[in-house]
Amino acid sequence: MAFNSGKKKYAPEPFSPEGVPMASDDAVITDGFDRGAAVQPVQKNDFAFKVRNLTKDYDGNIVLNNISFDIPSGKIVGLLGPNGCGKTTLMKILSGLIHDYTGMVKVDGRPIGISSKAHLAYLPDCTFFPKRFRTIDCINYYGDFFKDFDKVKAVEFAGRFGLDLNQRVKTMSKGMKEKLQLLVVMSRAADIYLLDEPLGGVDPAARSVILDIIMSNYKENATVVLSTHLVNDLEHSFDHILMLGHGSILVNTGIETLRSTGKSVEEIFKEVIGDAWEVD
Amino acid sequence: MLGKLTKNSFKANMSSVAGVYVAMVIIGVIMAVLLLFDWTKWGDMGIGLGLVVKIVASLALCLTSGIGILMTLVGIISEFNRNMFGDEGHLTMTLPVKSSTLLLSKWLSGSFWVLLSYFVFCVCAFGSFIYCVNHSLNIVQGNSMYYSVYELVVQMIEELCRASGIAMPSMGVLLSLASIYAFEGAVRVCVFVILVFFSITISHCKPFHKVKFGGIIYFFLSFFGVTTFASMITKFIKIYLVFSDEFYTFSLSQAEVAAAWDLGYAAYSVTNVYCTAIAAVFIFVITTVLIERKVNVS
Repeated sequence: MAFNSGKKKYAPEPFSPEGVPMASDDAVITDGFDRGAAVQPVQKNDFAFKVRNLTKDYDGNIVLNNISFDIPSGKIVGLLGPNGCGKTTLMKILSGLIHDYTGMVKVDGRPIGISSKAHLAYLPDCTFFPKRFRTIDCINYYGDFFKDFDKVKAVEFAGRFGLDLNQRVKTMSKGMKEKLQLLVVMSRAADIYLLDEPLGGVDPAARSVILDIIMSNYKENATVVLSTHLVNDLEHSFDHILMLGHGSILVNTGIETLRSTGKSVEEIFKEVIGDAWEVD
Repeated sequence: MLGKLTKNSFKANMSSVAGVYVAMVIIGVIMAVLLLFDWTKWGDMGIGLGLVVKIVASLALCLTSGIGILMTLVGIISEFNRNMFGDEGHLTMTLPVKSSTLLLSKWLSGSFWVLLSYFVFCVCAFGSFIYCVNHSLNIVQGNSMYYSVYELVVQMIEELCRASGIAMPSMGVLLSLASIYAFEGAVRVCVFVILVFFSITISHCKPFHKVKFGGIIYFFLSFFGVTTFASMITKFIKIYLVFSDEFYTFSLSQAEVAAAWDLGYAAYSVTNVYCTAIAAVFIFVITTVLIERKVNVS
């Protein structure tokens, strides 16, 4: 359950006069960019994620500090930020791996639980398959537990990536493991994809293949959240940008709004993140 | 889902103990081959040598089966830790299944493997004892192995009854009693496994995760708690199952129990094992809640 300890600290959502929930002012960007769509009144399930007053600390070190934001559905969202800014923590919370936070999180209008997990495909930044598994075991495992998994597609992807179906995970290189995990995640027809650094450990040549697989294989109208440092490689793919820094949301806006400033995402990233990391 | 999860967990546990079972099979085959030798051909020295070889092989089998228990325990602990709260937890904990189903699958699989390892150890220890004694019996009396084993077991039980001052129960009663004790053993193994899982889980929860070797400490504390709970209840409520070949009944009187043994019936105290089982279910529920609401995947 997403509510756990969060129940006690959850502040009621702001509602428009028509009774339609809208984004809280906590999602307001601090850098002067227009938040555009994020503050428009929208229908309930127009948001893939709804986060209110989310706070998470590691032994007193606050990583996410009372953040609130909404991520619109059907967009490709870039989750950007410097190392240690809480991108992975946020993804883990959204996918139901971290429970000791305060605040409220809703995924596709649902609290985090079995139902949200069935509709969310999560790619972590570590190897999550047991070492004894072969490629085909990984594919079968996903087929066993996710109704939206396409086995034929996964086998086809394995061929495209040059992965032997009988090769064991323990004999694979880091890049091969990442490809294997990506192929099983992208073989799902999920409503939401959460991809944590999918291009982190692969060579530049494989990046375009992986990017192509991500961009051409997610389910229509699905939301894809990609966390990355490689802003330059991906900025043309994003519809929406969420920048984290200093435990806060620095930017939460549509790509068009950002581009209207005449700067690239990378330039804005450096500007905003640079400001956030300045020492007082 | 439970079936699929259990199957996966079963395979994971199997991979960690497979080597030990292969070693046991090899030693067992060697022991069987040794049985075919006629040691008397070489006179007294051959008989003595045969006994030494058989004892060494038996000890090796017992040792390997003992290592099997340890390996099984280490295997289920590390598999649970890695699969639930380690890197593999990123997959396991994002599966669309209830935490209780997830935990139950681990419990079923873990209990099966621990039970199997205990069973194999008992069979190996008893089998090795009979194997070595049979060597002597065969040489001295020329008996067949199966006859000797049966005789030996009955003789041991008779000795035990005589020493305890009770009448020798019928074979049917003895078998029932053995089944009940086997069932109690199985229950206690299941309780042990869920306590292990509970200890690992709580050692991942705030603020308990800060304690060094917390898992071991929490295991002993929870084991002590469950044992004390069961003992306290047993102290006040003593329920016995009294049975023979023809009937069974429950009794609260210790005098009746003593009389039953004198008549060749058997009696078994059920309170303690029931209380322990109830405590285990309670621990299971707590562990499920902790997994669902408190534990983070690192």
